[in-house]
Amino acid sequence: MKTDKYYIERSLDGHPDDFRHLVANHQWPVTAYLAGKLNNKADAEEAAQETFVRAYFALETLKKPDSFQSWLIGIADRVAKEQMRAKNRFQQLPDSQLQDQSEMQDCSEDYEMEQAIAQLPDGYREVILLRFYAGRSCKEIAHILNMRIGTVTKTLSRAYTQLRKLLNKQKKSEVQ
Amino acid sequence: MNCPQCKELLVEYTEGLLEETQTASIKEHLGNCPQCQAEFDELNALQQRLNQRSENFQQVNLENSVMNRILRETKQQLKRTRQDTRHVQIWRFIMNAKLTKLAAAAAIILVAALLITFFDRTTQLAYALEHTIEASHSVRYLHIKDYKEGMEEPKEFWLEFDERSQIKNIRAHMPEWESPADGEKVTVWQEGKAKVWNKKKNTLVILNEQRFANEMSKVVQAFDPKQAVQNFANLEKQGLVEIKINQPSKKSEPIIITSTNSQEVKDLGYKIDRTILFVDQATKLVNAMEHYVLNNNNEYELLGWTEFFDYNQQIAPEMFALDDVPSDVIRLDWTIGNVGIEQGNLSDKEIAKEAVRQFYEALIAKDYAKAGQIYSGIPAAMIQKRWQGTNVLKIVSIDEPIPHPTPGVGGFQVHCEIEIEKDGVKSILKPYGPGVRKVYGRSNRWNIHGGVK
Repeated sequence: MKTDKYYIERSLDGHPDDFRHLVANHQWPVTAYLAGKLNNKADAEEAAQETFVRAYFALETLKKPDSFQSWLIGIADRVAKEQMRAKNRFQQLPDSQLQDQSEMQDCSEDYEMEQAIAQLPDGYREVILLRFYAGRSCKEIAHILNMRIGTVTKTLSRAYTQLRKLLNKQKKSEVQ
Repeated sequence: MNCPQCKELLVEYTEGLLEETQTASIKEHLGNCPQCQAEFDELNALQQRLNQRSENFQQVNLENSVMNRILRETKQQLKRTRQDTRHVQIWRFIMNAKLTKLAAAAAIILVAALLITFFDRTTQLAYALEHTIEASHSVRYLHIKDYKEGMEEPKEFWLEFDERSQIKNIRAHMPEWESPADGEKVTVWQEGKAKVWNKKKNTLVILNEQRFANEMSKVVQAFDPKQAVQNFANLEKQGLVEIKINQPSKKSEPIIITSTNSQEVKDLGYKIDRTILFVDQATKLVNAMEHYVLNNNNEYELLGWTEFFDYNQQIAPEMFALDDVPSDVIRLDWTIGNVGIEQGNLSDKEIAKEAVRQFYEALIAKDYAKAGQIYSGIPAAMIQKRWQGTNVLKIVSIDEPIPHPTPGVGGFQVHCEIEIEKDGVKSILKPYGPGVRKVYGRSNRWNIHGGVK
């Protein structure tokens, strides 16, 4: 398996088309993360696209290629904030110019899980996204993040505990 | 196994990472400990939920949309960089400062580079022109657009090179402004045989003159970035141009090469005083080339620029075949038979007059084949059709040839008066004035290209 680092170096060194592999490897986790933030899948896809384009043009500023995903999430965060700001501005317009609210909200979906993931500490979120949304095995994650497999499972274990707490908290606040 | 030990290993257990003995003892403990079993069930449920959730996103496919956007924005950034640089460049000259460094404002990564794989070099070397020459040797396909300042439509070329890096196939689109009288032209050159499609006249001329082939590849060479850089390197060795290279430390910004012609080169009648090349750092291939001329105010004025695209993007063979012409196109095969008439010992003006005389005499004799041969080599049947119902009786007068009044046409215009008979009525025909010029790519044959009726 080629690492992110390999594709990053290739992209920077005259093979920009290799950036495609980085998109392929990270598009699901990034989109899921954004869906948690934006509560809407279509918006999340659009924001994910923007995230990757920005990442491409900023690739040279990436200091640690091992944590490419965390870096992407950082960019995704900024993109999400901008999108939300733009949306807020839009919602401040007079009612006549507003679309039907139900049309704007993706009601058929519930992004409770992604919202909880978005609230996890960086290190925990990273392994959860890689394990499930990027479909990587623990062994692969150890390789990607350059850590021992025992560390991966420990991190996963703590992430699960946190995730459960967050999900319970959400449930409680819904009940209230 | 006790509860804390079990909990410690639960994740590894669900991931199937434990050894057989450990797996067995966990199973055993779970069977005996309802608390740990509950913990395990909860973990399982969470993992299942995560798996289900992730499926939701697995049909997302952003690869193409992201890469397309990158390509588009790269093109725009390149354009901006070039404009910014041009601005800085001219401004500095006005300030009379020595042009040392050009700040390229925007980060750019080449359009071309997106489509190719060349160098596998991680260390950055000081750039030299040789790098570009070397890199260009692996180019097999290239698409070029050449712009003239003030003109919207560029000249366009598609090139295919052979293993020795020599031009193998050419397709050229010439916009109407390049030769207004002829109109838009598409030319292909393949295996020494050329075809020229003139959209305005709806003619397709086929030629296999080596001279034409040479002429055409000479024209195209001026646009071949490898040749251009080679040329710079040679001129620099002879001390005839001053070359400045600005290599930004950021690899995504282009290397900017400024080549200024010395007085000696200018004295040779070169039309360009300065050329600026934009070279991609990673591939060392030329992105764009700008041509400047020094005007009366001592400012470098942009004459035009050339952009290079799609390095090594394979070009379909049909592009060089030029079979995509309208079905009613008039085919003029100049590879067989001789078009026009031989100049012999006659002067240019004499031969122009002679062509007109022979053309109308052929019409008088109803020798349409000969008339067609003199008239761009068009088929006899076509001449006959055009003159149907008109009998040419006599040449009344042929004036002295004058230079053709339409710019870019070349050759002469020959005014004349011809007596004709139409529907039984005799009259004097004063044609617009036949245009006579050399047959394309031939030095000793002349033909008529229009204005006979």
